[in-house]
Amino acid sequence: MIKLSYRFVQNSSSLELAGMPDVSNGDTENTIGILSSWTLKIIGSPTLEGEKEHLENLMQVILQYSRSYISGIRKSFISKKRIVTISPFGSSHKLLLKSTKKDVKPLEIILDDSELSDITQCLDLLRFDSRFNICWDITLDKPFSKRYIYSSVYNSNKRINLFYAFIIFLSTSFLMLLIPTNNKFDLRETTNSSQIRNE
Amino acid sequence: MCDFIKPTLNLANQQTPVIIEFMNKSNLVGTHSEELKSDSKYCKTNGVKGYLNCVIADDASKKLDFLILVIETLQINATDSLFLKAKNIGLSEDYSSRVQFWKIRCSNPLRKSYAFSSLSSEQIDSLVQLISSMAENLYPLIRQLLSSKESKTLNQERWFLFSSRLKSLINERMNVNRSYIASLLKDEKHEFFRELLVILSLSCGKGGVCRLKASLYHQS
Repeated sequence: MIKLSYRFVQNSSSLELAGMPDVSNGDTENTIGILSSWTLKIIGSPTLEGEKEHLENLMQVILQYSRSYISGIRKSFISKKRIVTISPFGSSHKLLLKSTKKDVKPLEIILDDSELSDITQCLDLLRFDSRFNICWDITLDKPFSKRYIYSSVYNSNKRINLFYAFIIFLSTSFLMLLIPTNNKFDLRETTNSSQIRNE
Repeated sequence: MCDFIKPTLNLANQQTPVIIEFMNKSNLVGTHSEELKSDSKYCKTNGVKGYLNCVIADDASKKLDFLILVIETLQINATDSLFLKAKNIGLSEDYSSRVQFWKIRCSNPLRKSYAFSSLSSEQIDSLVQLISSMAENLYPLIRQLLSSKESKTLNQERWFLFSSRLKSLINERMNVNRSYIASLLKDEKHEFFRELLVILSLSCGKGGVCRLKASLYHQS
């Protein structure tokens, strides 16, 4: 059986996949239908490798995160099997990879915007490559609802605004309480004038 | 002067064919897999379809116009390259006439010459394809600006050149009486400019087209 290997290089990232055609599925000799291994090299980070399941989980979080990021939403995403997590980390992004093997500590990789877009492009090239006949369990790029965007983008601002509003309300109420009120206000003059009018 | 601005400044005084020839030869042109090299093929196979139960986002025209403005900032005489790219990917004649293209861009309500018009879904599709393929060409420059792994002084110099040029273009074309534009011009952190560069970097390639297009719509 011929072993095929394809590589996608995008500046700081290099994704290499090896596999073979799935003859039972009618794949041609240049098509990978069965993925045997993959390697992701990111400059300045340890090499990542694993099985199809691991790559699928990585694709799930990276592509979802990039889809949200392009809409201005920065939030954490966890893969379906909970082995890959990506979350905002200051102005960068933190990729957390948990090993399926016991006694192996989770691997943490900090990516900047350029590295994130490099990895995203590598994964994009893979999912749209016709030389691969593999069904990936990933979410398609769909528009978000307005409510979701507002709740994700403006949530923190809303809370701060509510807090400020509460503080302003309390301070103005306190100031109003400090204003002295004249309870002994004499209304005699006005009553006199009304009496004169009646006369 | 910063290395990424140099080639564009040198080209400023050249005629359009020279610029196009330079772009084809230079390393500014990003390369991807064989599949994406042919522009016409790219156009046919991108598989972008309309969304069901979705409406165009309110800020779609603003976002697209600003993205083109960033492209113009990164590349001097970008309009000529845009028209050539539009021709290569088989877009309509609206993208070969400067006036028609300007009219489309005037749907941005923040422009001085706001036309009180809105973009159709076909126009959005075309602009997304155009921006995506231009972003692919300019990816090395975009990446340099977004990277935090290079020297700080060099990065600051690049950002200074980029932001000052973008601000001058904003000043020239946008309605500076609007508080939003005034705040953009005053902003020294360049958060919005960075956001635009991130959008461009994530818009490259086939996946980028789908991603950018999805970000311009809302589920109704």
